[in-house]
Amino acid sequence: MSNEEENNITDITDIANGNNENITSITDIADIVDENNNNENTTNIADVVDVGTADRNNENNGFEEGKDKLQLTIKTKQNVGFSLPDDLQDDKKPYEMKTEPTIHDLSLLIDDFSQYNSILSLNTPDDRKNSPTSRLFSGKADDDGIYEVIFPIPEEKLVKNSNYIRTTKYTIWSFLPLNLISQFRRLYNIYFLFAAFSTLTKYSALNPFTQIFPLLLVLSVTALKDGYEDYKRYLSDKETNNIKYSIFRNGYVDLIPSKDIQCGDVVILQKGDKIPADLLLIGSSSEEGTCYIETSDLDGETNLKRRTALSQFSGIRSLDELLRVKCVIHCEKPNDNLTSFDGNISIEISKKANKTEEKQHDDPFSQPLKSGIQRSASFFRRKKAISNLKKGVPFNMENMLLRGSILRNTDCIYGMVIYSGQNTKVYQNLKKSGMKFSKMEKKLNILILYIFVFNIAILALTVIMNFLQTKNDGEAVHLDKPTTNLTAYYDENNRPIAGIPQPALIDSPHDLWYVTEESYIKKPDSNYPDMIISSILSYFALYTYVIPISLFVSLEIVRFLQAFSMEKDKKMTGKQEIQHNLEKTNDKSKVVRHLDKDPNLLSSRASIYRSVHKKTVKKVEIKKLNMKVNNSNLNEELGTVEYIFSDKTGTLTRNDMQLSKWFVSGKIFNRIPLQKSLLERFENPECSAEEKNTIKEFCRAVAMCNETIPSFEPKTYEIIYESQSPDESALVYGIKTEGVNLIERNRSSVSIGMWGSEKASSLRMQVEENYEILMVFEFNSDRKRMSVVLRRPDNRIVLYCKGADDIMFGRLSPDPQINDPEYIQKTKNALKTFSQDGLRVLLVATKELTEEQYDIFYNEYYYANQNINNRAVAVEEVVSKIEKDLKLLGATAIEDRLQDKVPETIDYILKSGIRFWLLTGDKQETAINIGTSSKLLSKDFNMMILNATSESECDKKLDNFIKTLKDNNSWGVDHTPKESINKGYKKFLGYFKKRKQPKLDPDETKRLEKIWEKNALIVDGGTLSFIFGSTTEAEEEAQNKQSNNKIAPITPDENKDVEKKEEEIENKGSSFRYDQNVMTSMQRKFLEIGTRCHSVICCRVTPIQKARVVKLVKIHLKKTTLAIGDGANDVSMIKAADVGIGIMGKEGAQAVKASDYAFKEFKFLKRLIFIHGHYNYIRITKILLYSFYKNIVLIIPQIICGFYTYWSGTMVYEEMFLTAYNVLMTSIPGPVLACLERDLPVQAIYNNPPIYLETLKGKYWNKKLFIHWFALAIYQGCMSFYMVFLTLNDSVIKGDGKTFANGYWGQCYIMETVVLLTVLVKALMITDWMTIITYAGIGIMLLFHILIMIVVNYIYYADEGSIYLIFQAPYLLLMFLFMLVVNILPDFAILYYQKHLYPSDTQIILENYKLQKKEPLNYEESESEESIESIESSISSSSSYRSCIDNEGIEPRISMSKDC
Amino acid sequence: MADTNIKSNKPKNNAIRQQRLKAWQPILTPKNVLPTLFFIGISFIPVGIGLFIAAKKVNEFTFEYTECNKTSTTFTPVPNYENVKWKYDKTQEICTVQFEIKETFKKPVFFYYRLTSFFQNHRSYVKSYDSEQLLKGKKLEKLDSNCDPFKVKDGKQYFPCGLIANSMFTDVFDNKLVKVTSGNNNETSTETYPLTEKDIAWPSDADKYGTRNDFLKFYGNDLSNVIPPPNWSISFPEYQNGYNATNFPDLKNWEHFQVWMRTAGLPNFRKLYSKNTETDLKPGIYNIDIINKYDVNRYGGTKSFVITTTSIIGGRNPFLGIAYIFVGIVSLIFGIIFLIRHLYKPRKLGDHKYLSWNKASTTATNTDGDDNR
Repeated sequence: MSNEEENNITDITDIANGNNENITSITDIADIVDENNNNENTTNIADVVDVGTADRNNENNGFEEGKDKLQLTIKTKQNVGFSLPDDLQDDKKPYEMKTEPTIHDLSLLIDDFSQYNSILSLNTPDDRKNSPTSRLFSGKADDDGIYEVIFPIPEEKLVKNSNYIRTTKYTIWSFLPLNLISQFRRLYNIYFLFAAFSTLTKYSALNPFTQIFPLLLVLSVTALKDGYEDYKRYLSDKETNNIKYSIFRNGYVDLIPSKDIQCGDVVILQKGDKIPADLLLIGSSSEEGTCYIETSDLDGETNLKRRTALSQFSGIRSLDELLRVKCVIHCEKPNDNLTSFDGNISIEISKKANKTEEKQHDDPFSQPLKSGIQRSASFFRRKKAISNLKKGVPFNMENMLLRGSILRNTDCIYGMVIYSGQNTKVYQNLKKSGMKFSKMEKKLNILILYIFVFNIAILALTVIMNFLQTKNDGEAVHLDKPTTNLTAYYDENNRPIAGIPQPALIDSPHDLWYVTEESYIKKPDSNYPDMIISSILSYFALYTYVIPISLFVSLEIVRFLQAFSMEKDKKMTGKQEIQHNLEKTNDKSKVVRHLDKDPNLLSSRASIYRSVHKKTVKKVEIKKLNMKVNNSNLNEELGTVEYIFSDKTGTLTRNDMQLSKWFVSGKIFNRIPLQKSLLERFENPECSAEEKNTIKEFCRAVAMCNETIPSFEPKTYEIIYESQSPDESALVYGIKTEGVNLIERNRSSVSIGMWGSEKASSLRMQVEENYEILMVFEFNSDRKRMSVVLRRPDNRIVLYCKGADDIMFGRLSPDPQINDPEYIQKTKNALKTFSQDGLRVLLVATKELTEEQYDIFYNEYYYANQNINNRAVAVEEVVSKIEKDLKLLGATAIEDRLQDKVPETIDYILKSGIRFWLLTGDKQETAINIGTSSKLLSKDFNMMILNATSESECDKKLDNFIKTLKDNNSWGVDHTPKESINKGYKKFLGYFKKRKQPKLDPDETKRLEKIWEKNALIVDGGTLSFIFGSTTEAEEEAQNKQSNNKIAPITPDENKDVEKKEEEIENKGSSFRYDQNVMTSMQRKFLEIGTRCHSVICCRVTPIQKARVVKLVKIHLKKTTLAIGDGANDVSMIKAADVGIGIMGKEGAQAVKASDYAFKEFKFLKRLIFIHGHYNYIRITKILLYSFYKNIVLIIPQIICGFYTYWSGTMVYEEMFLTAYNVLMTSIPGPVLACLERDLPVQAIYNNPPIYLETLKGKYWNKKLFIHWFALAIYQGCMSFYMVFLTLNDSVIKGDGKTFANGYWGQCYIMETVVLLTVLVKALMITDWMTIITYAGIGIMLLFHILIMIVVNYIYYADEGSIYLIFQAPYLLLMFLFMLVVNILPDFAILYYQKHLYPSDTQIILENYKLQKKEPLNYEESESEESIESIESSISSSSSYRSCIDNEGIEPRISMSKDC
Repeated sequence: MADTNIKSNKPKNNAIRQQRLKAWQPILTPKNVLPTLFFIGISFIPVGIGLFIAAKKVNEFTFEYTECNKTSTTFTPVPNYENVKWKYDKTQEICTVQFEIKETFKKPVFFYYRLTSFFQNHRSYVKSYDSEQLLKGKKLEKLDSNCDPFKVKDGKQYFPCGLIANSMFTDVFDNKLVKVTSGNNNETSTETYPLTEKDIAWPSDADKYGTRNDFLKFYGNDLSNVIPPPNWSISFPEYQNGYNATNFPDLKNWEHFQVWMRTAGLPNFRKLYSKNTETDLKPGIYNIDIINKYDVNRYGGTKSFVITTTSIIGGRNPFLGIAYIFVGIVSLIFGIIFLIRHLYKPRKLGDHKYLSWNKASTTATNTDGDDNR
């Protein structure tokens, strides 16, 4: 170690000694280091960190003791080769220049390094073996929740496949077992498996094949589907895992596949590359160490995001310099949070490269570049950089590049891998939250339960009969037992009447000698249990046919097809403009070794300039955005929606913000294109100096208080603003029209073009003003404000803040000197006007800061930032301290136009009787205004506005509303149960008690409906918080978990508690704990009023309140709810609702990801629920009922057959038929029905909105309907058997005298044909919408039947030729015809009776429609006037959001000259 | 300023994907339902009548001779039967039945035996045979287990194995009906009505069975390991001592066997025994001799013989005719009821005022009016 360095350290020590404040942790660290040097390598590094952190909190303690040990620490360092950059010594200025607590920083620097020492001293393999720290190395998380990455990677820690991402569920080997396990988790599969096992016993009536084949088929179809999906995943995995990346590892540059990248590698990425792991940005070719990424794959947001390299690394400009770097990163354990990240990096930069450098000497590139060293020196000169250099420099999401995002607008970056493989945020996010299932699923389960009971009943019947038969050997239950009145069976000539079962003269006892041998006769007297078991076994499998085995598979297929047809519906296809410039693809083999001078860099700064003048070919792609089905389980749920909850911004509106008005200095200004109204005012001689100042400050605040990035349109030299929030760019664009431009923004400074001096001549000339950015406090939905702290060109410090009015008014200075109360009042009035126009309002305010104020604040902020675990809260606290006592500058109003056809859609929804609740974060006036313009409200509405400042007031108001409603005789009956708590045994008793509430007669209900249509309730968020309480989302989550875990039955004690709680709620109210399952009295009142309003508007609501409103309706009214929204603030609501719909808007994909269905524009909602939802509901109900029906029809003859086959289990059908019945013979009509069926043509539904809710009144799914279907199935089953029996019994069916249809096999074929024909004709009868596919499906089914008969007849059994002989017989053909008529006629009559004499609304509308159009129905809709115009408008509206291209480094002035 | 390239990423615009297939959406109106019902009624009744008449025209004589062995050795009238007498020769086990044919039975005339309560459809019975054994013989160890319990005995295989063959109907009917010339019971004439036992099975059935030579070829001349089913040993005198090269069953030409092997689907069935396609059966009194060996009492069944003619639709089964008439009438009744309902209280099709929500509005306004008063 050189003297120079030693001096360095001494310097530091000196400084430290000179100031006896703040140095604290040194002592401990030193101790530890000491220990380490004595080879007592037991210290956990995590401990070291902990010590460091803990001590910071105990500052000013015991420095005196530490002072002595400091020397020791320094000494120990000398052994390890610690160094500081040499420049440090020469130039001490930076330490003093900026902030006072330099010494403090330095002390931190020291303890930082000492920590390093301790790590490095462990860094030999021998040590590590013994050390408990070894488990921490290279991307491992320890138990304390700290995750560590070390660079360079210790060699023996190198592993392969560490970045391998496997999204597949199965591997080749695990596919079969895992898939089978998952399939057999479904109860019905186990049921069928048991059935299959039972066929393997000798008792079973069935051939094992008949049971195993359908099961196998069903299992394999599902397995194939799963396998295919998994295979697709595997292919994409394989592709992504094998993309080659250049990485820098231990001094070598290597081109390795993505899967082998591991924590601690440095990845070299070029423009357009996909980021292969979660990286810490350590260097970028851009000057400020920033880069831009597109995260559309992660969160769907297409706008660019800026990431900044850690300033500590900004000295690193080449790979070779990295050799000198050692660092350890501590950060949070891998988690799925995409928006926040907390980490801590400790860096050591040595002058000489560490041991790995030796290897590098042969490499010509490895010569450390002088410039690099200089740069790294200059980095130390930077005050900010040095001030941050201390133990654990914090870094956050700002410095992170997440896997899956794409590098844009930056030539080359170096990034250090923090999380790899399964630890990456993307991967962690793959965990899907629980799927929603439709209510139909529950109903289906109940139906299955019924069917199962039926199944058991027939099994029991059969077993008993079989038992009795065998026991009494035919005597007891023989149908042909002689009756006393024999004459019934004989004709007038005393000849037995053929065709009627002949009584047999039975002498009992007797035995079936032809079936059994003497030894074979089991005398059952001794062995009843055995007999019963064998009898159960023999019938069990046979009767599983009651439950359609293929139902679940076909449901899955049907849902898939339905989803497919929804996704492919071009009437629900939105347009999105996607622009991308043609970037050259990168040659991966060329590694950028130096960020500044590497020849491989795609475009140097110069080339960017060139590209400004070159014609760049841009591709504007108008992408058709199909709707997306994320969860097809809810297809039919879409048809049962009764409550719609909608977000406003981005859902009803375009989210295409434009600054349209502003309020400054007591006046409202309108933005008029090409006119600078604000400037005019400024020029006006009347304008006082103070006013001028306010206007100027206002403009500055608007232009700078944001995070917008200006860039250049290369062809037009226009400035384009890119921002994460559309509001911000709207503001900047807006102020630009006034001649105030945001020109340049980087990390540390911002430039605007401001009006010139007040002399008229120069006023319109822009003068560039440069501000240094000191701090930026970002906007988030909790804070509802953002602010920047800037250093003016004249060195004064100023804070600009903008935010929502409700927050901002509270933060304004109450001092009348600063804020004139009159002015505030004026502002409030102006805001009211703005929001009446439906505008979104932001207040702009400012505050001058003195240097002292800033420094104090800076320190506080700085320490708050150190908090690893609780940083956000701490920072928030500090920041809100400075964002107060603001001076009001003015207000801005942003307009957001309604989307296409929103009023029409809402109007239609309301007409249909669906309740529409608008939940918005906007102001009440804005919300009402939007409500009016979107036809949600109208002037003649009875608007109930609920604004309360206290809970009692809220309660009183609610009571008043109720009273008014009751007085108007428009209350009706209560919708919610009186007892708000129904738990435990009470709930159980509730089943018996329910349905007690009085029911209104339909006329009264309809009268009320009419009145309610005119009611509207408007509530604001503050009032809602009285109703719902105000727990945070996290608390609620925890509570949900708790309540889910609570399975134990409620003891009386607990019950008391609940009651007590209820009392508490009644009395105190405010302190109640929100529980979604318990409804408070106020919630009930709110709900009761809400149900009497066709529209409810909740404004100023938080995301969590949105979810609660939805849950209130969902849980307590038990209605199907649908939530639609576009932004992250709607996610909780979308998840809470029965059906969640995401709008693919401009606010990213979080809502879309959380949703079940997603589409581009709000107007598609109409088509989705009224057409697709409605049809799907009908389709699913029909296919379900039909599936069960057809199997009951199948099984009935089989049961009756028992009477005529000695209960021996003989099948009435041939086995192949039975096998194929569900999986082949009847497999097509159901799904065809479920894909094509529609009760009414689209246009007819559009013309009659109320038809939608008619379906909910149980038209398609009710007990009456079940009974009808069940009775029909029994009737048809019985008829099928007896008609065949009576026509064939004891008879000849053809003139040749030898054709007996009652040959066993022939009879099977006849029975099969009759049943199949009946079932297929019934499928036709329930089809309202018959297409060629319907007919074809039925045709194919018949063809299958004939084919199987032929195959079986020839190949399988010895009953060759019988089908020819049978089906030629005219007698039989007449019988088939007759059978059809007999089976169908009653159904037909009932159908006519229902449809014509008591027509449903559907029927009337259909008739009306048909009478208008004589020709067969075509799918024609008048809706198709989607003109080119709308395409154009969508292009123009989105044009301002074009992604910027090559925006870096273009001189802003180029455009300014054009612009001004 | 930029090249606009509208990429066709939109859904394919074909009829199936966009669900624009032409569809027929039938609605049930009086105009189409009433004619349908009347048409069914009007067309079914005549068909039914036709079928009924056709069935009635079939001449059939059925006689149950189960209890024949209990009767005397001389002709005695049978209770419940008119003009039927029977006698039983206990030593030869021959039952002779004398019956009167009142009308001419037009050719072809078929002679059936009829069993009741015989569950040929019993699960263990129906498949109890081995088709390969029946066609060309089969090794013992390969015999189908369906043949149990008559598959093997003491290491010897049953031929033919299985329950069906074992329980073959063994009563023998005389191949002629002997006409009794006068009312005198004992006088018989030489006038007979011949019945042939050829061509009573389906032609295709013969293909399933082998000839005696086929079997002998397979089993060789040593037939000691092949034994007849137990019941055959009792019923057929020739098999009492088992098989030999001469008495081995010639299944391909044994049509009674083939008919029996075609199992019946219902417990009451008839099987063709013989027929006469040449001449009509004239009215008169006939005698027939039956060798009564088959025990139906043990399982509680009956046995009969049936002499019958056929029509185009088969035998004498009036059921379908009656059913047709019945359904036709029901359909007509439906039609008439609906017609009356329609005439009495017609409903205008597609009238929007019937819609529930429109109905509601009228009610609502009415109620409002009431309130105001």
